[in-house]
Amino acid sequence: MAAATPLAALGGCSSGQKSSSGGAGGQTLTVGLLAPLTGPVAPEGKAMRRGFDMAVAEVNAAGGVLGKPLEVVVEDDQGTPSVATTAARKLLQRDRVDVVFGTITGDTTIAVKQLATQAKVPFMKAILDDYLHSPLCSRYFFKLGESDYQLLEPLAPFMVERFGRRVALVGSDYSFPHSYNQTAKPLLSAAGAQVVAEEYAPLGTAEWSSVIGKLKGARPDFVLSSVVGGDAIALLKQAQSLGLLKSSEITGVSINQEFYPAVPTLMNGRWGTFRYSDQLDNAANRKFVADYRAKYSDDAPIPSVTANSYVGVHLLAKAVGAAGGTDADKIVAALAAVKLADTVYGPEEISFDPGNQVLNTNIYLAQIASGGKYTISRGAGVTADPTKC
Amino acid sequence: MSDLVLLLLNFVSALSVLVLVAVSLGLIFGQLGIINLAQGDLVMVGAFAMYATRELPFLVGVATALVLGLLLGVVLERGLARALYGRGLMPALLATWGVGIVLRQAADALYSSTPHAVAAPVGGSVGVLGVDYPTYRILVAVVVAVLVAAVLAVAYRSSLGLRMRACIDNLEMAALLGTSPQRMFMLVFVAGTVLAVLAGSLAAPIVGVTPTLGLSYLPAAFFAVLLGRPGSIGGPVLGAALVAFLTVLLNRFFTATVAQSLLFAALVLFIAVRPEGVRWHPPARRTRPLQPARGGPTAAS
Amino acid sequence: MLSEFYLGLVALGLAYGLFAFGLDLVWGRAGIVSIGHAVFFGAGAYGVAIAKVHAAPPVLGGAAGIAAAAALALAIGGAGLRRKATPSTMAVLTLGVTLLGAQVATAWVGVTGGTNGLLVLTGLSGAATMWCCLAVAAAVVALCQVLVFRAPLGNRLTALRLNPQRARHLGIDTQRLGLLALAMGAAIAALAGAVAAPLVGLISPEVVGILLSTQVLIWVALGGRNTLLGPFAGAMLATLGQNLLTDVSLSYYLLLLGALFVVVVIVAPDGLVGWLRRPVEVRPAWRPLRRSAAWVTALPDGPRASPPDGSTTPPPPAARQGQAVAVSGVVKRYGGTPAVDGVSIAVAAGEIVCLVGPNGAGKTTLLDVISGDLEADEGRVLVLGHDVSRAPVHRRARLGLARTFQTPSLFGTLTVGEHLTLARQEARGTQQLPESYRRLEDSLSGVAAERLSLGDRRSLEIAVALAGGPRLLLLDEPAAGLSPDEAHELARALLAVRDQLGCAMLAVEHDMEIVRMLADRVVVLHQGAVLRQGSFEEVHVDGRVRDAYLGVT
Repeated sequence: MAAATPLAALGGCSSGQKSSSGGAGGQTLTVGLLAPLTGPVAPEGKAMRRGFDMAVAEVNAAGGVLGKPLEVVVEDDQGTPSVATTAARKLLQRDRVDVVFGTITGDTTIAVKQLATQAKVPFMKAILDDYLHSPLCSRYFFKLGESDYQLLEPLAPFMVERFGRRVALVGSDYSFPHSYNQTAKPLLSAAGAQVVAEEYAPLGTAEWSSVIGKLKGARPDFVLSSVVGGDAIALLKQAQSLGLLKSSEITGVSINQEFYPAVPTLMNGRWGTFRYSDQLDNAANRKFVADYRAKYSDDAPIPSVTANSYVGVHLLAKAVGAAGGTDADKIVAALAAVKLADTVYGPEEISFDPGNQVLNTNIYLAQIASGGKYTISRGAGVTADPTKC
Repeated sequence: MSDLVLLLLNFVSALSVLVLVAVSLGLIFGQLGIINLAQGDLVMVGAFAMYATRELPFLVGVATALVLGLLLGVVLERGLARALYGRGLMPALLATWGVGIVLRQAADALYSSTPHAVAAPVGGSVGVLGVDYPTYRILVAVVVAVLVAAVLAVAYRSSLGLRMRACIDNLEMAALLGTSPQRMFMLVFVAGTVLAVLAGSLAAPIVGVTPTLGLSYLPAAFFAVLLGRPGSIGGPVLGAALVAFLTVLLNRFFTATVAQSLLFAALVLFIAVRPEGVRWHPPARRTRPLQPARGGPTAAS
Repeated sequence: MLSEFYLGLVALGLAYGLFAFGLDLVWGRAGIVSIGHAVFFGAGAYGVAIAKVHAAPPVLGGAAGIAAAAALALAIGGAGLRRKATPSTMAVLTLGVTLLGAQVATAWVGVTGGTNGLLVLTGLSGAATMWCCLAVAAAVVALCQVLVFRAPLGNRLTALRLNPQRARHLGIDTQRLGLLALAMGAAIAALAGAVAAPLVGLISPEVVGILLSTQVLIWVALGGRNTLLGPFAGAMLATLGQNLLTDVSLSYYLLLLGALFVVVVIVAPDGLVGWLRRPVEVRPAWRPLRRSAAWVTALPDGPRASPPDGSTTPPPPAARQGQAVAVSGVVKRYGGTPAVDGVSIAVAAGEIVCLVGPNGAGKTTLLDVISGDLEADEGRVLVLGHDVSRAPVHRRARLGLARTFQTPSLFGTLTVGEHLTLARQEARGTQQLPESYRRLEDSLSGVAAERLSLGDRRSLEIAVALAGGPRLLLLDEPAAGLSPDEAHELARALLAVRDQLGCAMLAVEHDMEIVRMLADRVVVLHQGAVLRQGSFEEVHVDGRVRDAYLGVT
């Protein structure tokens, strides 16, 4: 369906419209976009919004949903739970949206998921998350973002086979890296690895020499890093200068396209798994990338969250079309059953896992190359997230 | 043995940037009674100055940072600090926190919060007592040592420093003796700003440059200043040494989070038990008691 | 119809307003620096959240949070409000505690849920929550108005904020008072946190952190410190503004906030409500004056402290009968130099002694040691028969010791009338002012102290001292800066005071004319030791005294 959409995204201006009457139960689908547009995770929020806006423009250019244009209300959650709660309430109570779309951070997600579930409104999230160890089960919650399990499951055996059995874990000290490592450990031991070190440092750590010293002391073959933000750059630079990277490979959340421009030489050739790259070679993606580049005049690599929200809106539009109405239960049932083929991820059909409503797609193994592009090594197939809801 | 050497090197490295920030904070606090909550953000400004000039040679970047620091210092002193003198602690805290927010938001608007990096002018490592340590860190340590020595020399051995310390001790008296308070304030404030910005420019190649970079340095610098006698210039140096020492030591034996918590707790306890800080006297020259004039009083009594 | 959402927003504004109100009690009224106040708010919020997770009644959790907050406040205040502490001590302590609190909340995942936090979402309607918040806020404000802000406690808080030194000399135990204010302010903040928890929705480390701590400061500063409605106005404005403005100015909102910090401090330090009307600072007692509440500040009569050298010999009988003050062997050093080097003098009841000597002789230091503003390194100080060598200033004041300073130490923004109301409030009985000082009260009652001339300020300081009915009055250069006529007037007034009230006086003075008029006895200090004691004539002709003044050693 995405491939057939005419190239009308260039003039897209569908975001930011406020609907005072709302669409609860009516025929106009109103989606509330809740994203951190300011604050420390604003880059991710804006990236999500771009995919969202592009898809909404395409959907509306093709006739909208149920014959009417899809309407959008945008709220900034600033990446903090108290603001997210108020903003979500605004969307649910004042604007009476049919679907809530967004959130980036783990804590805002938990809060919004709870509110949406209580209000019986579907909620879709576009960015990667950990589902195994977070309280995120709800029939109203549709997880577009890839799960860390899906990414780690093919990565662990590959790294062990290629680099060695000794692995050191390092992460920023908050919920996500802890869950990430909790997910990683059984996968690593199943692949025959041995965890020789596990270190965490608080967010905002600029000086990593002590941690690096401890990691070096454990002599790992590779390091799995879930350090985020500016701390990741500091870690990578200091790991290099203090000699850790001479003897150990490094992978994980810290190795991503967003950080590539800062430390290109440190990133080149490093391995990772991903669901989406603007290098994926299929018709839908080529078109998507071209539209994106034209609309935003941005040559930087396109992050996964952008693709996820783009696909998510199309999934939603198709589901609501199939449901025939904007009633919440109908939408939920339709989303649970919706299937979409020829997406930017590839030609294969994608859908939500019936057990936990995580989007199942192909995962790929790749290296980061110059310019931050992913060089795909091989496909790893579709991995289902084992979370039981 | 190499373990000890590494610990020592880590200590020196941790001390380098911290001591500059602490001295800069101490200068402004001691002379002007202003706790500048934007001091960390000035460090961030220095780091971003390096990022903005990353295509140019390193020294050009540092020079840019210095000039930026000078300008910022003058603007802030004229526009803000003047309005805060003598108003007490809270107005200064609030206003400087506001300045910090503005600086962070400006950096975010200009460069976004995606982390950036700056290349070090020298790469590789050098052997120190059998341990390989990054050359750049050694270089920074040397530069900072020279800088701090220069600051202390000016403060305690030059007439300018004497006048500055006189102003800190007794402003009215110093003014009566011919030192212009306005000019001294401006000098001290600008010196404090420039030192902080310089710290940021030196730290930039080691860390990830983000708008919130400065906040990492603030608590440690704060405590370093308050460990010494308020107003002393050598005090923050000693305080920074103590904080750096504790940091490295705690990180050796505990996880990073526990180490940081213990450090905060230790320093809170210290301030609670000794609010007046550690007594530190600058090396005093021996003074001879004044001899009365010979020949008795000549004026009629 | 006012939708659910707006009601919920108003409720949140009220809860935050209560939080700001708690901070205002500490900062706006008592003048204590607290830049980590969110740690108390968070205690209440986490209390409720943890209770909910363990299926315990949230009220219980909230109460636990409030108790924890009060305990923490007492610990912080115990350290930060001591004599040796400065305002920056409190700043660092509260900053450190809030950073530590955020660290603990992040790391202690088992209890606090770490950064993923704890969910506290009730099914209550917006209207119900709003009425609940309003009721709680109104109750707290009413309680405070009745119990705290009225005389005498409210006046004491004002005194503490404006001039802790003068407050101590009125007999107020500033440390205990500060502790009380801090504990109350913490408890109110915790209550606000408990009430706000379901509105915030997810309780995570941000509720104890530095960002919220600084935000509440600006709410109070914006709305107006030391006013009833100011904190609520500031918080409500910020909460509503944040939600309504973000539609318009997204990324500029934070920039605006930063600018607001700067602007409010520099341009509008009184905040919104404060700009509209000057807060009522000092309230007259609404019951007939009686002995000050013993549980807050006063101490029972006749403390019997043991002498510092550990001996158990009782003070000499003469002290109990006739001596207003007796110091023996007092030594006070600064660094290595003794400013007071083994001084022993006494002042009999009703006697006026003048303390003279060249500059740097140690006169003011000796006065400080007697009044308690400094503690002697060695020696004993007996005031009205009681050994007060280690006693704090307010205890000595309660015994009947009053003091003036070289630069009059007053409550700058308070009026003459308010000064006297305060002084009388702390007095042990009503005291009629001597004739010469009644003029102040009659004609200048409504003038703020900072607007008075130097002479009138000196008179006010003495009047404030006299309003307490002192038995010993310490004066530090009372005639300095006065014209010869004013100085004569002062000397006559002081003599009249001694005749009417019978109080003893120890005055440091340079003006020999005044000394001649005033002194029953003169004590000459030189280089920290007593050079000569005697009548004015005896001292005046002594060659050694002359040499000391002229600098001949």
